[in-house]
Order: sequence, then C-alpha cells, then structure tokens
Amino acid sequence: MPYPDWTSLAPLVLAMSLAYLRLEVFSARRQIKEHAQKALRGLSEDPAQIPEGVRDMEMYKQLQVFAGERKATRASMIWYQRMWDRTTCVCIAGISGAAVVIAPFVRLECPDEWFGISLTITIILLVCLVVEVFFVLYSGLAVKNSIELIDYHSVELSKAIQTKIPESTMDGRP
Amino acid sequence: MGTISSVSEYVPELARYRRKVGRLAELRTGAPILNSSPDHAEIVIQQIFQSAEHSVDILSGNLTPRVYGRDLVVREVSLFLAESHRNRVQIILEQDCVEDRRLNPFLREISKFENVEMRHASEDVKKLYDFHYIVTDNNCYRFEPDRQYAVAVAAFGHEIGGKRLRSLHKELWERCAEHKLDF
Repeated sequence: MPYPDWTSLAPLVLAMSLAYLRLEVFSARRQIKEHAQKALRGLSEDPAQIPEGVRDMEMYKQLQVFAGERKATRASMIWYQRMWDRTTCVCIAGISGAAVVIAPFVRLECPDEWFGISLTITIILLVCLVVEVFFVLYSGLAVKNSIELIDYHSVELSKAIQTKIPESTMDGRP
Repeated sequence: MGTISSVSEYVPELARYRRKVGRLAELRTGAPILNSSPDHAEIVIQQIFQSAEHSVDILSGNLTPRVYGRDLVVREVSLFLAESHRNRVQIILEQDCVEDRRLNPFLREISKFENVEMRHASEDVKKLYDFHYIVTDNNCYRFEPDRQYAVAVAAFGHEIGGKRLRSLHKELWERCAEHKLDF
C-alpha cells in the first residue's frame, strides 16, 4: 500500500486522545465516588461514638452529613472543571487528527483501499469522541444537580439551626 | 491521575462564599448561610464587624487566633471600635489564660481601646449552654449550636435570632459579673 506512513498514524493519534479522555472520565468518576464515600465514613451511626456533650444527635448527624456533602461536592466540581478542560484539549487534538486523515483524501492522493479503511476508522473514532463528550456533559449535569440539591438542603438545615437559638439559657433544661 | 491541591482550588470557592456573604449583608433579609471552616468564619466575622452599628457581643472559647487573629478580622474590629467612642464590644471568654491572651492578635489589638469589656465564664456558667455566638445590635450574627464543632449558621438582619442572642448575652453577661478580665 504506497501511502505515506505519517498520515496513517492520524487515526492512532485520535484513538490515543480518545483513550486518554476515557481514562480521565473514569478517573474523575472514581475520585468523586471516593470522596463521597470518605465523607459518608465521617458519619457515625454508633451513639457511643458521638462526642460527649452533644445532646442533639439528630442535629449532629445532619451537620456531619452537610460537612461531608460539601466536601464531596467541592471535589466533584473540581474534577468536573478539570475534566472539561481536558475534554476541550482532547477534542481539539481529535479534530486536528481527523483533519490530517481527511486532508489527503480531499487532495485525491489516496488509494481507494486506504480511503475506505482510514475514513471508517476516523468516523468511528469521531462518533466515539462525540459520545464521550456527551458523557462528560452528562456527568457535569449530575454534579450540577447534586450541588443544587445540597444547596437546598443546606438552606433548610440553616433554617433549622436558626430555630434552635434558645430564648434563655434555661430553655430545654431540667 | 492527579489529586486535589487544596489551596489553589479552594480559593475560588472562598471568593464565591465571600461574595454571597457580602450580598446577604447588603440585603439584610435574615436569610441564613452555613459556615463550617475557619476560612468561612473569618469572612463572616469580618462582615459582622463591618455591618454592626454600635455594639458587638461575643461568647467564645478563647477567640481562637486561627479565626479572630486573622488580619482582616483584626483590621475590621479595629475600624469598628475607632469609628465612634459609642461603639462597644463585650466579650465572654471561657478560657482564662493571661499569657495566651497577650499572644492573641485580636485581643492585643482591641486592648488599645477603652470601649471593650471582657468577662470570664466560670464552670457553673458554662454548664448553662452549649453554643457560641457573635451578635451585633442590628441583628447580624454567627451562631454555633454546639461549641465543640466549628459548624455555625450566620445571618444578617434576622430579627428573632438577633434578639434572642442579645438577650442570652445579657443574661450570661450578668452571670459573669464577678469575673471581669483585664488585657
């Protein structure tokens, strides 16, 4: 097949970009999950582990959950921002790679068999790339939704704490 | 893959928090905002001193330098006290250690002013409550429901909360009458 080798590497570059993006998405999701689990571990269900002096166990648990959720959300936001930055880079690399593959065909310098194989590979990889980008956007939407949910709960929790301000030091004491 | 580098990525979130606190202080709707780190506490306390009209009442363990000792808080309390001789700050401290008080940047700064009073909460008084607070005369406050945890709620212009905290302060202040502290 008398076709310049460097152009045939373009689909490979595209595939590597895609693999990198996939790895990023996977890693980001794993990190988000880990942070969430770590946050939940801070929440103790065992009354013996509730620090002495904390009378209102429900409030303590809510506060712990809130602190954990905030950390997890912050981590999710950070990873989503990173993921988005990298997706942009990978998309640019992918489109450049595709352009390199397609350019010789436009100039009609390519034998038919190479045209078919390379074009098919390029189209498959571009479709995969588009799917990955949608996947990243979907993850972002999930993070956004969870942030909104946590914001809602944090406002409710704040209101609950506001109502706990006693009127006198004798409130609720024997 | 990378890990989260806390400082550089935490800063934009703090800037957002600061903007939100500033907006709440401006609107004075009494809407609450949660507060659960020394960085958040610094932002809220600085804003509280900025929003206060004539008085600020504080109940704290030792006015921890990690929050109260930060430059912005120290500057703001100093500006508040310097604004008028009628402005006053009343502080009830739970921990009484002269050496530590002399090291605390916040306490060192306010010791220059005459319109500051400080009392100590004895063990008996401490048994009466679990909370900590800072509250102004115009209903801006930061309230920690449990003094063991740095989780608190802050509000600007919340009348019910502000009134209750001022009344609590008055009650506790009277109970601490015999334990006046010098700088």
